[in-house]
Amino acid sequence: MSAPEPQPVFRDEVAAGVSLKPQHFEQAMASRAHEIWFEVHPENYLMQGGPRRRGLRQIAADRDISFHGVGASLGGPDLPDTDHLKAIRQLVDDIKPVRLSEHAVWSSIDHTYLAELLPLPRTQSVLSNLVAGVDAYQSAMGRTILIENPTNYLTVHSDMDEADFLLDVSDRTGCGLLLDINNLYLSAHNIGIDPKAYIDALPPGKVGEIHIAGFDADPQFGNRLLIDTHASAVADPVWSLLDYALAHLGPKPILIERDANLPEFSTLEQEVLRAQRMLDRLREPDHA
Amino acid sequence: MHDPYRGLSDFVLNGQASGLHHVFSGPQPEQIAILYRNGYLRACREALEARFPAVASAMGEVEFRKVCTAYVQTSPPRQRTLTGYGADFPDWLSTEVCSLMNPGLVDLARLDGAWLDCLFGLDENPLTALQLNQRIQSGDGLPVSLRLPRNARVVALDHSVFDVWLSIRQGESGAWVPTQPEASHALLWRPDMTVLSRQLDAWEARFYLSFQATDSLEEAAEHFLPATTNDHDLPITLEQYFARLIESGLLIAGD
Repeated sequence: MSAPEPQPVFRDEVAAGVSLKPQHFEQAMASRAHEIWFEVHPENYLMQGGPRRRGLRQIAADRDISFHGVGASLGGPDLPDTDHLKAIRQLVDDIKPVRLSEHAVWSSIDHTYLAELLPLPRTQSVLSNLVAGVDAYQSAMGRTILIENPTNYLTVHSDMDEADFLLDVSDRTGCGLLLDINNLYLSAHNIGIDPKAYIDALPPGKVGEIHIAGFDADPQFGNRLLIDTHASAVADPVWSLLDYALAHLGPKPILIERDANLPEFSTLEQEVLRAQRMLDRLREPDHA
Repeated sequence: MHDPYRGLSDFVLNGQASGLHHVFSGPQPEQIAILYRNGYLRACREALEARFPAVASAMGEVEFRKVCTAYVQTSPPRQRTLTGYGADFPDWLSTEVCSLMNPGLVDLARLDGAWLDCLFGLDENPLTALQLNQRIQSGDGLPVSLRLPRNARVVALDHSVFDVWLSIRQGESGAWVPTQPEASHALLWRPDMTVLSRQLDAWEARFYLSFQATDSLEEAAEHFLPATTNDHDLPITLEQYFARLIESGLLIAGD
């Protein structure tokens, strides 16, 4: 299957944004943050109508929206579900997001949705499945997407390291990469990969968006196992790794991900502003 | 060749750990891979709780959690989103012991499910009295066809739970009291962004079921029965009832 026409994976103007939840619709509409943008999981907006869909449409009229899918099962044993892709495409046509992204994981087998971002063994066979999944998704959307590196809690059987695996998919499909710094930090902590070597391996032109988020220690294993909860503020070591990534990759859209234990919107805005200041510093003359 | 997908899905769905070593290196991967199984069960349970809040409240957390686990085992999600998960939960619930003990729970589930379906249903602009007057004054008369909003739901109930359901939804939940068998219907509809609901008289149920099935107000009107009480809130004539339909945002002008 041929990939859609390549498009730039990032825009000239890059800014910081935040996950958008229906509880924050009104504050998001009123936000005074100049360039703030919002990201949603499209799966949460696949209904015919109602206040949630209307709220998203209203915000999309004023602000950039990006879609971050969680249900496509791109690397699964079966191709992404065509009904699901059609539903996402209809939402894309309605909301017109500036970016589309999904996860380099799997979540479905035998028409059963497992509602988890399950890790992929990095073998040639699985690589082929992921390539086919990305091709199918991009064809259905009529545009290229970004795929996100997973959080690792266990070491999967592998023929290649994760950065090479994702870059291979990118080369074969034309998709870009979404670098989740929090996932990378947790993978480094949990299974011992080198996060800076991982970042160094990524060509800046391949990365179209960066995510940062909060994590929590596992209730059973404590700090030995860190969980990607998106339920707390971004931790200092993640900010530091973001700094390192920006120095290597240059300015990229940065998303503050928050999915649970939602604070006041103004609290999230403070994290957005911190990320925005990091982007602004890259534009200063001594960074030129 | 061993299937790593099957190795992990067997664990997530059924807790069978024997295939995990086809996916993960290292000893006892199930100790950590339990994250995935717990995440799957939690996501499904939270989706059911979001769709059936009155059932969850009436059952209590411990019982509802047990029921959800059993349901997920029987009816795992088939769509790639959990927003609509649990469409057959009320029917499944009707076979469970807890529901045989408290059969009104099934009706609560029917009402909860219909409420969310209505909320997520099609947005439509109901015919207003002003629009109707304008049509009449311009000589256009009534719209050629009138129908119920596509987001409207007529829910058949076997027990007298409607008021209890409303109370729970409005946060006034007290102890769940088993209800008496009493067949009735409820109507849920959404003229704007808020779901409205009310219990129907027997003739009204026939009226709305006919209206929904035929998109014909004339056929539905054959079921109209004028009020026989002195309750001035009830319409006396068909014309008054028609006005009530418009006032409630229950009429959509067809194409």
